[in-house]
Amino acid sequence: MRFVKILERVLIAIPIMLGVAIIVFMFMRLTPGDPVDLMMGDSGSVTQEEEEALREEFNLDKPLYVQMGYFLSGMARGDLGNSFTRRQPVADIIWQTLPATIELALAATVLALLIAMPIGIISAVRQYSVLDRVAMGGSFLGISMPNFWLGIVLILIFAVKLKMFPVAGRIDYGMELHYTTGFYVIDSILTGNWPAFVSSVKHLFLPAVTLGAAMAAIVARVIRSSMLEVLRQDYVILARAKGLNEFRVVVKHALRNALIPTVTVVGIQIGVLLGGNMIVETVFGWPGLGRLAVDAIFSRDYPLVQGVVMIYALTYVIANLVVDVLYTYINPKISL
Amino acid sequence: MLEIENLSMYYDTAKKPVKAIQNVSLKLDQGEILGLVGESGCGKSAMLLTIMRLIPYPGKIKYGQIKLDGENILTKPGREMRRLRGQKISMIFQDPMTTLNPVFKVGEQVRESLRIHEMVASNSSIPFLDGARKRKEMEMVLKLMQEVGIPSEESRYHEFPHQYSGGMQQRALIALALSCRPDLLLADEPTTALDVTIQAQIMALLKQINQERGTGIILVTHDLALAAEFCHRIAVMYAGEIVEMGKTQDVIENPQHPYTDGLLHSIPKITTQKQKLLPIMGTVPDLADLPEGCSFYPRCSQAHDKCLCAVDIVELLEGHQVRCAIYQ
Repeated sequence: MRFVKILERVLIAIPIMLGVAIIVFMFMRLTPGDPVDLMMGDSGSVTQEEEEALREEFNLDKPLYVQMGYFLSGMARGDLGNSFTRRQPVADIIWQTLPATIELALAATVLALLIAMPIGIISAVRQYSVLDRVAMGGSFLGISMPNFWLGIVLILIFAVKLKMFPVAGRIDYGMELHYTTGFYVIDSILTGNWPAFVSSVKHLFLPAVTLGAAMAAIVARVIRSSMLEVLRQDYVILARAKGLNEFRVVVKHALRNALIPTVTVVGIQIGVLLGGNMIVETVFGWPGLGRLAVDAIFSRDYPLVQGVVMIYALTYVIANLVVDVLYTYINPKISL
Repeated sequence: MLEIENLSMYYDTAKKPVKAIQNVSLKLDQGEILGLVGESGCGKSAMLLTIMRLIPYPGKIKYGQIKLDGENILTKPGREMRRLRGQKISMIFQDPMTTLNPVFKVGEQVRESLRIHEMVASNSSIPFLDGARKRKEMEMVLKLMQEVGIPSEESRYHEFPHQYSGGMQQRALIALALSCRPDLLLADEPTTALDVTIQAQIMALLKQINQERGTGIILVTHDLALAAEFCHRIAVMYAGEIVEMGKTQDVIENPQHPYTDGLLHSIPKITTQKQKLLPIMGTVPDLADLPEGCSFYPRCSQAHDKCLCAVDIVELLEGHQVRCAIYQ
């Protein structure tokens, strides 16, 4: 039964993705700037014929609806087209950069939750204590700081001044690593390559902090407020009346209930994470999807932008589906 | 079995302390049912939480002792107190709909009580992976559920609280409270949230538990008729104090305190004659700003000058105590 419902939800995602495809296609063409002009640059030594040959190659000479037809029919076959600037299939480019982005996003999420969960819980249990005030003040900062600024400040302090972490990139130059999954941290563990492991973790740390800061701040606040709500409930008094110690009262009886609103927020935050990664990846020179998207937009590389945005949309849809399924496990009152 | 001596509990607020319980002394024998009646906010629920030592912040016990089997539980360290809770003293709450934890199976919530008080000993070296122990505990839970009248307990065990009706939820909570065979059961308006037919069933169940197991019960209620039917003795509370206490028959048929008298007159009776209800005028005083002397004085029909002095509780007849200036 659950499987059928999940399948239903997956099928609903198809029209959503189609809508996204059309919108992305239209907006890219509406953006001023011409890909061929940008490719030719300012040199001025390009002939009219050469330009027209390029336009023909990219199908840019055809009417818009024909171009869209090519795009959609290609997508239905799993073909995202070829990049204008890199002359490679878009799917291949995305496939190569995807692990870097997922690695960063996962690290940011894990880091954010590891920090936010205990802080949120303790702040609620010790409401108005010094720790609560400091934590909530800190989370206010975390929400307010734009991540490009936080990234630059972290680079300045920890990379440039203290030299504790590298400035940019995923791994030190000349570090030999056998790539199997594309996740450098995992690859280095799999091959037992400890210098590479240390190097990749060090490279990962600052961008993950930058990307996860806002998420940690928001999640800590949500956990705090829902814990405060839950701790007032009768079932918490019952848990104490049963003779449970305070730790189990809080972590077992209260937290399980407080997680219900928290999961929703974390799900939404995954979307925010995707938006944030364009900036963070650019600041830290992280060779992921976000930087790829920024480059593609500046060079009006239509197929590449479309491909990347489709991946973004797909991730968002999947994240929401996962949240919905998770929900049924934490909240017995809800079924799919 | 339970002896409370001169117990006072205040909520220390920023302005004045709120005197939720003042100078309460009472006794409960093995197998006895004591009714604690009074209006909302008179301190009767706070009384039960104080006995459990679960008064919410900023409540503090100021004076007095609570002795269970001769031992003062107010001086016990947290660990020992936790061992008493749920095992020797259990509590049933007012609103079963919000008292069961919504995210855990009902059966598991009952089983948790058995587990924390180690009602089934484990022979395994890794106690929490002991399957035999778990099965034994589950059997005990099923038996308890059967005893409190939850039908088809095998499937009900695995259901969540929202799948239960209100009456069934209260039965489950009673099963939970009884799981470790407590000597003392504190029932905080256990039937207020339920409809009348279910109310009768739950009260019958509590009575049966009291008779079969000899469990002492303190029943907190605002329903004097319910207390009269169910309890061996009744204590009437007003503004944090016990104003009258005695055998049910004595208190109901021969009330000595004007407040008890007033309460009895405000209950409608089914008689052939039409009868006007006599409400008690005024409202319960602010517990942070109690009047001098008798707290009931401003609302009392028989008030006179002597009421302005401090009033002690006195024993009029055998076991019938009253706190009123008339008898000083």
